[in-house]
Amino acid sequence: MEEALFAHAADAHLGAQDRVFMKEGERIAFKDLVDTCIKDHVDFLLFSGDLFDSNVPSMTVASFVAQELKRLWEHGIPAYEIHGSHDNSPTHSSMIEVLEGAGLLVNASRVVQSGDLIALEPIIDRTGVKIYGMPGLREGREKEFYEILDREKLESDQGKKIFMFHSAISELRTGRFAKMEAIPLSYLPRSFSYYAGGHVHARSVNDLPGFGTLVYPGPLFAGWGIEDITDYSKNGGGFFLVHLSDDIKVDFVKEEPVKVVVVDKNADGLSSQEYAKELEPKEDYSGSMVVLRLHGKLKSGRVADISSEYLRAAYAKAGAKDVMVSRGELSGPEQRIVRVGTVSQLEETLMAENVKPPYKPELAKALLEVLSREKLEGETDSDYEERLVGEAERIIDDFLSSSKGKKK
Amino acid sequence: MIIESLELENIRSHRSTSVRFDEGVTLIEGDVGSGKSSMLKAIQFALFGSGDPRSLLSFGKDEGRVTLSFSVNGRRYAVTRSLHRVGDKVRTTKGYWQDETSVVPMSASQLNEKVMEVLGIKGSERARRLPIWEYAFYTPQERLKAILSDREVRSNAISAAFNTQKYKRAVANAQRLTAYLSNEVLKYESYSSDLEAKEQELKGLQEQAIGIENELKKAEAELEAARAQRDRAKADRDLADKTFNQAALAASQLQHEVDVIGSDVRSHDATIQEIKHRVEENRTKLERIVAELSKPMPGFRPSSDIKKEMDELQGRIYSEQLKLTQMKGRLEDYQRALRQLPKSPLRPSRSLQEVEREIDEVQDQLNELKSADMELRRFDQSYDEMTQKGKCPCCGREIDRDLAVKLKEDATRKRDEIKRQLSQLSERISELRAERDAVADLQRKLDLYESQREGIREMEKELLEMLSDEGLQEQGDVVAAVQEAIEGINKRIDYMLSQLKDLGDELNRSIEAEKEISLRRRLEKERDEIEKSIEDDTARIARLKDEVKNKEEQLKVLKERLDDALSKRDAALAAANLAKEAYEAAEERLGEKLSAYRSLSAGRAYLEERIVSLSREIDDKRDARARAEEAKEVVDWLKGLFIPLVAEIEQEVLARLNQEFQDKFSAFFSTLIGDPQKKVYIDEEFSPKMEHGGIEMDIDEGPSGGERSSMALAYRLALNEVAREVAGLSVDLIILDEPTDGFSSEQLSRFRELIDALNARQVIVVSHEKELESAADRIIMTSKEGETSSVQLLQ
Repeated sequence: MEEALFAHAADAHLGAQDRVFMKEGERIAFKDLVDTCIKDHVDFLLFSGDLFDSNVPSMTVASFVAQELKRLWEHGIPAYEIHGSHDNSPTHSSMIEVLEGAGLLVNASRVVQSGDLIALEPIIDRTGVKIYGMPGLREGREKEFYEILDREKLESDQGKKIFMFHSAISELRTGRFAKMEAIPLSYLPRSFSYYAGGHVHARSVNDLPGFGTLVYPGPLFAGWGIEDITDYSKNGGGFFLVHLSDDIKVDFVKEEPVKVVVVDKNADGLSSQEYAKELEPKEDYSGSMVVLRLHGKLKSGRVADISSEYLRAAYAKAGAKDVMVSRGELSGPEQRIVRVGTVSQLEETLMAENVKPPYKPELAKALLEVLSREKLEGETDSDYEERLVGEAERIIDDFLSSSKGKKK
Repeated sequence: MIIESLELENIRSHRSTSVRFDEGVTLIEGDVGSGKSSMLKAIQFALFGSGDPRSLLSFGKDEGRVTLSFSVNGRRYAVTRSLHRVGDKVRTTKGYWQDETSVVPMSASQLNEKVMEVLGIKGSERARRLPIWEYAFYTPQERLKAILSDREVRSNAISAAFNTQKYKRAVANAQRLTAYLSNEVLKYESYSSDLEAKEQELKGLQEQAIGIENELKKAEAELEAARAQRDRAKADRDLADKTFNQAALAASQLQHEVDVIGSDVRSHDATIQEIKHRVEENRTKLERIVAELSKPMPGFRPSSDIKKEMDELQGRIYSEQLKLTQMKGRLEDYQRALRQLPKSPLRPSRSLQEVEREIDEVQDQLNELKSADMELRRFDQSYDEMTQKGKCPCCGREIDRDLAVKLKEDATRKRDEIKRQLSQLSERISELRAERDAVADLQRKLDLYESQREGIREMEKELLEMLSDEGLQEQGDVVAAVQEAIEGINKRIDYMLSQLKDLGDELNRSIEAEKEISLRRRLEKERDEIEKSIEDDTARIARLKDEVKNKEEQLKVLKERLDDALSKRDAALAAANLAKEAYEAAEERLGEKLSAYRSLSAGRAYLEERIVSLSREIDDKRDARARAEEAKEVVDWLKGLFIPLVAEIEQEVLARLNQEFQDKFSAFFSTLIGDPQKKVYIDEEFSPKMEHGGIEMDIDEGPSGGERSSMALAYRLALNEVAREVAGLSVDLIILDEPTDGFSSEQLSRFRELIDALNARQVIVVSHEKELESAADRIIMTSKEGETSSVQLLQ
């Protein structure tokens, strides 16, 4: 009887972090994964997509991963993976394929033609477990493959089967993933022992009637993006150790190699000065990566008044190892954006709205034109002032004379 | 604006380049340094005259030119600018402007104005022509990098591109204006603060004016009365003066007659006395002359004869003196020659010709011996060869060596003899040459001696002739004879000089006698004249005495009439004096009245002037007060509405521009990157920001090279579009210089999509990326060979 102990991880997004502190966290998390696999003598490792954050990560990241995979290989632990939406390349220009070529990774996606459909050939591990894999593509385009997948054939295969996939399942979407591109559950082949999912950056273990245990391990570390990091700060990352026999036993191994603290402040109703004060560190953040989530609408002042550099320095002073700032949701006070033709027309509109009798918008316009003139080359300050003030005075005099019927 | 063609001559690496442009996308492609960006700089220079002329003109060239043809709204134009090097400096010289009808030479500044007029850049915007060009059409690569990385550069660029500083300037200048107007208000108020006091003063002056007017009328009446009185007194005075003048005139005329006659009488008396005195003098003179004429005269010879004789004698004396001098001179020369004559020199034993002949003979002998020696020397060499080889060197026959040796010995002996003879002959020739020189010297001395002797004989002959002229004969000693002759001549000269002196004395006496005769003749004439004069004077005296008697009788009658006329005159004078006194009194009274009237009149005039001046001043102050009120209102309006409105407009404009910039920046970036998780935006300061997954990235370190380039390009294009809108320019042309630095292949493929999104009729892209060729409608290939760029158009 096929029985196996394996590690199931996904969405490491190695190379996604650009802060040094977080890069180290990535490395530690992946190393811990490999260490656990070796320490616990797993039969194999499943990686359900997005091992790397891009198809061509930096050499540093690629080199590190290769070395870690080599450790697994040296311990006789195969690493089965499928391509994810981030690390695949339609032109086969991906590091994943380099590692596959080197034998450090085994691509579990073996797509073959099955009449008008496509079928998946399994990899049969030495434990006898069959592993099938369906890659993920950008913007959920793998859906098209599911639509022509010969599920019957897959379902008819005997033995312990694991289905690796990198897609969201419509019926299982929750929270911030509710609107994510997804495939319906029915697209998956039924009756697999284990569905090793990836792509959804939230941990979940789902027992699905008619299907089996479907697990999303979530990001190995902090995924990528502000939401993933925020989740990480609350829940950490990690992977599952799965004991596959007659039943399934899953144990989550948490990975929290670095401490991340999210400081979330809403700017609604505050001036920029008040908000800046609100954001100042109020506790000790020693040893932490601080993530500042700035959002809301300032009552007054400017968004530029909230300086990221200042905040980084302030939190560094409070002990933070590093500071990330998310401020895309922060906006300035409500401003009427007058979308009226050219700038000149905008000026005229505002003048017409604001200049009341006995004065006229034409006067304001003429004054604006004169008073906004630049100093001429070689002109002294006093000559410049005399010229402009003289001209403005003439305009005012002409206006007053014409409007009150006076003789000059 | 659409660029149609560009011609370059000696511009940077382009010696002679001509390239056409068209609508659509044109790619200027070439390796780094092949001259791509130079074409863009040339376009900028052609349009706006900007750029450093020294860096534009090709190195080593003195003249350069750029001609840019373009069209605006369907009308075609061409602008040509020229560069000229003078020493270290490069100047922009006169250029040309061409439109569809004419070609006009213009200065650089005129061309700038023309270009901006055609592009539709408003007059108020023309100072910003460069920022408008740089941010609306073409932003150089270096400047764009600086804009993205340097906050201050970015701030200045945004300010220049969107002309946002104008509002701050307007606010600052409006504040200056309000300060100025406030100052004016203070001045007006200060000036009009005493308005009421002035009005009161005016009222006072007007009352005074009325008082003076009344007094003036009264003074005028009194003045008229005094004037009438004065006129009457004047008439009386004039009549009295006339009467007096007539009486005075009559008396004066009579007096004159009396004087004239009395003067005549006196004159005649004086004349009579004078004549009597003259007669007496003449009688005295007559007596003296008669006595002189009675003296006797001495006898003498005429002075002219004596002078003639003296001249002849003087001539003879000169002749003798000349002869004496010549004789003395000749004698001295003769005696000197005798003293200087040397002893007679010896004669040589042989003549010069004989010595010369012997020298030639000896020389001939010498030459013959030398020839013989030469001949023997040749044989000597042959003998050596014979001795060594045993053969005759001439014919080659075998020769007995002993014989050869013997022959050689004979030859050697002969040669020795010849040498001895040669030596002897050489010595002989030397002796002969010495003898020849001595003979020649003796001969010269003989010739000189003979010449001197001949000279002495000639002098002796001359002296003998002189003696003969004197009638003397030479008797043995020529010198003694000549000396005797000289003595004789000296005696004759002395005698003639004595005669000359006597003649001189006689001449003096003769001259004195001639003078005396002349005097006697003058005295006789004078005597006759004096006798006549005495007779005439006597007759005249008698006549004068008769006239005097007549005149005295006339004088008596006139004196009686004169006394009568004088009495009448005195009476008239007394009457005239009285009339004058009356007139002067009337004049004085009139003056008093007139003075009083004038004083009052001046006072009135002063008051009137003061009233006019004060009225004017009051009007000015009222006007000033009104202006102060007006100015206050204007100041309030400026402070309360205008300045805040301009600040508000600035905010609105910036917000509007910021939003538009933001929209375009974000859209362009998304087109290039295609990853919805990567976003860009700007803050209020137009600082670019990037987010990945909602987390702000450090744009200098976080994004990849391609992402940074995409952000830079998106920023540039957004800046171009918004700047064009601010300048009110329609989107026709965009120029992009190396916009895809670091782009991935996928991004390059999106580049065309981005270009299409710009909706520009003409896009010119400068790049070394071959991948962009697929995005271009035409390609201009630049290449460089050596220092010269060339272009090739590929459709």
